[in-house]
Amino acid sequence: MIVKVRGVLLRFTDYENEIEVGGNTVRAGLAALTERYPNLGKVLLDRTGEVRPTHLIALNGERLTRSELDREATDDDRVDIVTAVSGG
Amino acid sequence: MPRSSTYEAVLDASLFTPAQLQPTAVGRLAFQAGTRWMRDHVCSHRTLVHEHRVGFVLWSWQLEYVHPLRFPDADDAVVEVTARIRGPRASQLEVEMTLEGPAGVAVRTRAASVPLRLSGDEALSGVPRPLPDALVAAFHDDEIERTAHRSQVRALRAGFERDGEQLAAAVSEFRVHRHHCEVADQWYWAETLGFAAGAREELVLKYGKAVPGLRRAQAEPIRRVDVTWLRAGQLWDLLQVRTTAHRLGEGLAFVHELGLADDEDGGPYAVVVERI
Repeated sequence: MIVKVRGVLLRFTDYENEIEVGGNTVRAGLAALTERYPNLGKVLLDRTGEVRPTHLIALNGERLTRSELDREATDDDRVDIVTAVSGG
Repeated sequence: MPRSSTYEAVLDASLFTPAQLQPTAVGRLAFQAGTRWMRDHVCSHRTLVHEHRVGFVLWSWQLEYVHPLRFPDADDAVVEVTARIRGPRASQLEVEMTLEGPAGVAVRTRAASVPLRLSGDEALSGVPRPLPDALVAAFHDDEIERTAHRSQVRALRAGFERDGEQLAAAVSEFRVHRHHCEVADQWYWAETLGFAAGAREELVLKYGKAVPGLRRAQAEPIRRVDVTWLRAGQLWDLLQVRTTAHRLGEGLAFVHELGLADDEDGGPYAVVVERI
């Protein structure tokens, strides 16, 4: 699947905004992504390994809840990670 | 009496157009003023973010030009700023600033922000939450207003469409670069005033010959700017500005709707209304 990373998260992926990762589900893809970019993992995931509520995950444009991250994803699918707002 | 902070701002040529203070410059002065009030009376911005894990995101701003102030008029100006919590559940922070020159108050701004509870990550990601009690306690009783701040942007747009004459419309694009951003790589709100002003100038360039009245927008000072932000632009976002120019009586108004260029259905990120 292709993971698209935007804006405030780019500095944690060395400024790559479209990243191809393996895995059969969205959750597996995110695990592969955060393994490749550990600093992104610290931002994206809480202490229990769940996606923090301040970030939204979408599969082909459809927003997923935490419990829907086990949805199947193929090589052609697109996963977006969106941080709605930051407070500086 | 609500507490204020008052200080001198040294004026330089970069802050001005030939006719007045630049809106983006006023935005930066207003943000600095609000930050100073918070530091003087509540806590510093750094402490707010890193110790209290609270941020603010601006959602409404008004700028009113009152008395003339041009670069030749003064070496410095007096900034006065006050702040108060608004909303039934401490859901907004409102900051008012005046900048006074030799002729009196030159500009008056009012900004309403929404508090965020930050998750503690390095991206400073957060979700809207009322201001924590510990911070509310730092405000005096007369700095807490139970009614909510209301943005005028929706009513203004409706008025232009109902009572005005649309003179021209245009679309321009820009990308958010790092120099447009604050520390979290999210656009710095004052930069949206610049994006809107750039879109206005592009429209004047394109249609100023066919519609000469539009060139007033370049020649005459801006009287007022009203903005509402609905979402935040981020580093490298390609944004689109949809601009319409309206005549309403003797007045000229520009409405700029800023949104993602590749997501036209996603709704606007910000709406900027400039009145000449």
